Amino acid sequence: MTKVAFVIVCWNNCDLLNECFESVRSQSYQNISIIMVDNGSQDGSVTYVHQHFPAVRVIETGSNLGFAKGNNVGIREALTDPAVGFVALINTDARLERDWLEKIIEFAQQKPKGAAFQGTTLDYFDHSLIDSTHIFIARNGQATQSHYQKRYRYELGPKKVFGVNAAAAVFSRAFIEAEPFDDFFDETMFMYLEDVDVATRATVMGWDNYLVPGARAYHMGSKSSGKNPGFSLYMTFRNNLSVLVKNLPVPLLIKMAPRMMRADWQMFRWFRRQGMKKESWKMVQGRLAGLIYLPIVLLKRRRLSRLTTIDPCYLWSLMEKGY
Amino acid sequence: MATLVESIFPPRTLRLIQNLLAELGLSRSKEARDYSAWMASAELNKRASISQDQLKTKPLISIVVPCYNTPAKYLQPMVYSVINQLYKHWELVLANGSTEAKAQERIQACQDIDTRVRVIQLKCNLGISGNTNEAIKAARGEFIAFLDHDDTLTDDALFEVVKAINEHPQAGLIYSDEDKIDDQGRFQDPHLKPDFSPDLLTYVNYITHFLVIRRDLIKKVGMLDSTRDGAQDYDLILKIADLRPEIVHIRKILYHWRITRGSTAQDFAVKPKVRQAGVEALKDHLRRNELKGQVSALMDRPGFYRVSYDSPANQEVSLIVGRFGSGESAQKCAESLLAKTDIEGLELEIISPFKLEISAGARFKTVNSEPFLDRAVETARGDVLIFINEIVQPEDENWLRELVGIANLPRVGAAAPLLKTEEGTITDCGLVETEGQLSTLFVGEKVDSYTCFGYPEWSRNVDALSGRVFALKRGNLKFFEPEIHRGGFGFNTQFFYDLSRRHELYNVVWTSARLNQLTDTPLRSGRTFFNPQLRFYRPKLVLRNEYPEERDD
Repeated sequence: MTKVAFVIVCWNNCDLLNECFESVRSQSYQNISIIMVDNGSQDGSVTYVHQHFPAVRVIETGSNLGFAKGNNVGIREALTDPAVGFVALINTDARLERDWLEKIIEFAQQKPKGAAFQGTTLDYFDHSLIDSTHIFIARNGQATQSHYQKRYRYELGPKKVFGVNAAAAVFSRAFIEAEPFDDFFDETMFMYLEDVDVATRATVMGWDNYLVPGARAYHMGSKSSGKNPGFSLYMTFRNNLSVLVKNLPVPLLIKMAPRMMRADWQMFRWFRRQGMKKESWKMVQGRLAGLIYLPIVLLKRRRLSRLTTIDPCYLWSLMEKGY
Repeated sequence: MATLVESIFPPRTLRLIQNLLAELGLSRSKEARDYSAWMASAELNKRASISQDQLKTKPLISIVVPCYNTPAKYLQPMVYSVINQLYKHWELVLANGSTEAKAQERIQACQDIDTRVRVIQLKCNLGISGNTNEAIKAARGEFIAFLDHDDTLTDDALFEVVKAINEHPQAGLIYSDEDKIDDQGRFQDPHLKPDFSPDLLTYVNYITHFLVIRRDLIKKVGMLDSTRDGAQDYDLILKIADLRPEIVHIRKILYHWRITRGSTAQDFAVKPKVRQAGVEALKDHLRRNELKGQVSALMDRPGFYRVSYDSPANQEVSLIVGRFGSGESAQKCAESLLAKTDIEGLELEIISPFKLEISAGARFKTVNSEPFLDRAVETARGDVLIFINEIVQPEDENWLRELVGIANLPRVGAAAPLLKTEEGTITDCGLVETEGQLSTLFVGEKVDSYTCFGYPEWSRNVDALSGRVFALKRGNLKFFEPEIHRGGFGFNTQFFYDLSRRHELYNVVWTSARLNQLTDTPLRSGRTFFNPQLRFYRPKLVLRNEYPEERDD
């Protein structure tokens, strides 16, 4: 039985920790280890976990490194144990069904080329709504969370999908090691779209991401990011360009360019109509900042392009709906 | 170019342009686009009713795919459509006969995707039959499912098959409806098939995909015959059907058939060979069933064949004219029939309630007493009785021989010709059951048009006939003796329906025999169309409404 390491990054969410850790600890699949990466919380999270969940290994980074760096620290730590075959990433605002891991690992054992797996993630507050089934880059370049706030009427999957949402997902060790970069999540991104980046990389490298049927998790959604819409917009639009340029084949980029421009223009106009002038400029700033990052991104692209095996036509069809 | 246009114009303008182009016949019709959207959403909605627990037996199904230099853009959708199956207990066997190194590698790599995928590396390309046979030999499943290397399955394909196996544990051959998919991934041209129709099967291989056959049966008929390449699946289906297993039709679209320019081009290159292979397969089929007849391939329509059954020499045929109308019309009809019909080799006898003047070639009897039909049936001496309405005229001379030939078959209850106007609009093509009612098929459609039920010019097995013109073996009347003796017997649709349902014979509309129907009133033109929201023609379409209508994406 393969060992699974849970990596949970937290930053000032002490109130959520109990439920999250409890659901991880009580998984029916028991060969697990739990690693908590504390991004310098001020609210006593660390002492709380030490007290209530003594089995959890805690890594204190001392300051807020962001999602990407925090997770990378955790993943690196997890992979030092050679028995670990899969790494599960869980957000602190997510809760797992008891058989979540069992279902996913059973499924993942069948897929030698499986990179990432997720179950259907439901809305934490209303279990009849879906939070996400998968993520993908649409043909207009925008990262999309599929089935967001759609009614959950029946079991979804199994499906090969474009990418998985890192709110509650399992990554295989084989993929993490096959990937060309030292950082699993791109640390230059700081926040937002890192999971889309990883998903796209897996897909273009010919690895498979899957939506696993029957594995349910619950996610509160963008609770923390809703605090500062201007910042999230800026980061999203900045990182979006890096993700696209770094990963996608040139013919697709050419095909996407006019669609992207139209989508951006529509978004910009929408903000203006809503009277959100500040946000609309944040968007433009994000795009411009993205351009500054291009040289670094192009270097990475060169390293990655040697490993790209996917057929552009098939990738294009995946970008319609993400499956 | 198209993508550039799509990205520049907003969706509403684009739709307007598309509709305009469709009106001018320059692009896909609105109907086709609606269908594609519906199919794409149905893909996801289908699983609404699905619960794997309702399956009692879960047989292993081996999907066999003969691969030959498969391009990546077709290979990947094909493999992942199998990986995405809801039903878990399958194996995918790829027989790799590729000659290009890159394709070899690409197919070999599929093995890593899932542990249930196996690649059989062949030393050389053995042709489509040979490659498929290698895959079948390596398959371990109780059932073999056939998939072509550039086609895809719907997610619930195997689940529906296994559901059918659970409902029919003896099933030997299972097939489903299908549609086509183009390079852009758009679905089009759905083909909704009838339940098993032996007479349609001798006209065209309508079963094609998605085809699942019990492995024992394939072994029994000796696998695929490589001398029949191009029509090897037709050959196999005919062989299996002749073993008379239980044949189950799943009334759902489970298979997307790829439209590629390459494959049609290849077809043209080897066309005469393919045509000959199909003819040979049909000849074997006749031999196995101890039937005599001529088989030919239709020249302008690849894949369509025509069987003419021979009738015994000097067979007696009774033509019953004048059931409706006056003596004058009966006289006219009999004259024109005799003038335009080739009756060589048949002993013709004409029966009518009126005194007719028949010039030559046939004997004539008048039946005066009432009720006419019962008395006519009693007096007729023919082995085959042909009942004819006065408002028809033969299109060519062979119609009578064709009709007698098919009516002689043991499996056939009654046979009717295709009735149409002189312009080619169908006026009678039999009746099919829809939601407990019998309704007409293809009336108002042109003979050579294409509908979602296939071409109207195909000979078909139908639930009942209208009774305007039909041929009946005398032997089949034995089921109805009591009614005939009692008097007042009529050949209404109920009679034909009983033939097909109670006595398990097939009613046929035999399109090799065509008659022109003379009508004064213009026909209301109907179009046979596919509309998932409508209940139409068959109860089979109702099944398509079981999916929730709310679009999901």
